[in-house]
Amino acid sequence: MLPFSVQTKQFLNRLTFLTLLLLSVGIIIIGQFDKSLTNKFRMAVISSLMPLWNIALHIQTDTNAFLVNFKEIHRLTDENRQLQIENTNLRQWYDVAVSLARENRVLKTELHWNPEPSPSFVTSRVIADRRDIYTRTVLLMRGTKSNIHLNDLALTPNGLVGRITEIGPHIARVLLITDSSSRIPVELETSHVPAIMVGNNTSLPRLLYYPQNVHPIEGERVVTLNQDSSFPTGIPIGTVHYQHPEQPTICPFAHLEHLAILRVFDFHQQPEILSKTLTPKLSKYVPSTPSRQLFITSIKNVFFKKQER
Amino acid sequence: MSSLFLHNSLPDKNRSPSFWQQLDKIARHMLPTLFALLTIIFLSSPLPIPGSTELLSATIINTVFFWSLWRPSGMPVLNVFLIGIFMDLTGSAPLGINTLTLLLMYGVVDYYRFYLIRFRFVIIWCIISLIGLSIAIMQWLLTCLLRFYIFNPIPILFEASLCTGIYPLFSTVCSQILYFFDKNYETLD
Repeated sequence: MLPFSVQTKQFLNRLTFLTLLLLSVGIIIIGQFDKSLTNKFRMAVISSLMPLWNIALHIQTDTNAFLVNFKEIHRLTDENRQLQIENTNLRQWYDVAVSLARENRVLKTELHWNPEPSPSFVTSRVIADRRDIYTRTVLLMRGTKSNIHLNDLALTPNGLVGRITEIGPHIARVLLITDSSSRIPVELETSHVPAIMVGNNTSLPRLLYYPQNVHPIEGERVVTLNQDSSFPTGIPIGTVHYQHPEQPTICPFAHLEHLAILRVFDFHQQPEILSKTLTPKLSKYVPSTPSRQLFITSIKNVFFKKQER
Repeated sequence: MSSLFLHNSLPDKNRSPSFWQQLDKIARHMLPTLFALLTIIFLSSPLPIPGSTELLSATIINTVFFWSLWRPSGMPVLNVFLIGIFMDLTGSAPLGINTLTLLLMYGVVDYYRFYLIRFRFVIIWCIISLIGLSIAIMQWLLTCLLRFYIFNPIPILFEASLCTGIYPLFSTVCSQILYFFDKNYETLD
């Protein structure tokens, strides 16, 4: 213990308090003006906590899986029978899809179709659902080391979730489309008009800035719109829904309340690289059932090409 | 282990404190801060705890309030600052808001400490609910100001009521810990 009198100790305490109070005000001001510095510190702290959170997440996932298995074990027989029926049905659809894919490929070859580049993507687990009282974000356990960039789009199989706003080497933060600072250019698919989707911290973001002579139709699909090359056109977002008259909102396709795994797409890469990285390939185990017409077309195709040579 | 050493050394007051005694004392001084830091880590984790953000805020307010009122040596101002900044860095709200509000609360409690400790439990409960409400309003105002957006004010009530609701349980548990310390060891002050 330092040999100070009570008065000196009190004075030192007050001085420390005032200094720290001023420092906290300073931190607020610095945090507001230098966002990159704030992000750097935040990402460093979160990266160091990530292993702990990862363990917690794994424990929770395993426990949930165990409990679900335990509950559903008695329903397995019924479910199995249903799945078998469904599987047979799907198998037929799969055959149809394969033949359609082949036909599509042949037709594209006929038309000398130049395929659009497929974007590369990284799949990541949502490590933490950081929905503060006034923000809607989630953290992913992939960062710049996994080839994720700022402003990349995060999607679920259903639709758009948000975009990357902060990034570290092994961690990235996704600003959800429902956050109050999210603004995304969209297009109404039936009305064919542009609009802006504005997050408002509720589960239903608002639809604003559409032409005055157009009224968005209840239930029509809303997709992204490429206005400044930051978003590709046509990514599904949700459907129009009216909670109150004259106030259209968007009901997102993605289940934003229960995000587990996200795919982060990079739509800004060079097309040359993209076409090499992701060429769709059919599995060699796929049972192929090409139609007779398709078979004749492909034979003709080969025959004529050989003649030309 | 440490308590054994302490019991053996208690009667001899003239002897300088041993290494284990020092360690024990530091551990007891750091207990509230460690509890707060672990709470932040736990409630920031991806576990699906309903209302975890509001619960985190309420628990930290209660921890800082309780210890700065009843055992200021267990919650020095520097620790309050560290808890606030750690809470800010793990969250996604504008940086510094929790630090400022916690420090302001600490300042108020520290200034009126000798008046507050004379009150009965019910009065202190009312005071912590008022403090919780003030902090929630302050956090809401600062967030609105720094984000240039009027947020829905309903979470203020939820956070304040949670802060009020957990105080009796929190106070009971912490009082038991304090009682245990006072009974077994020398006081923290």
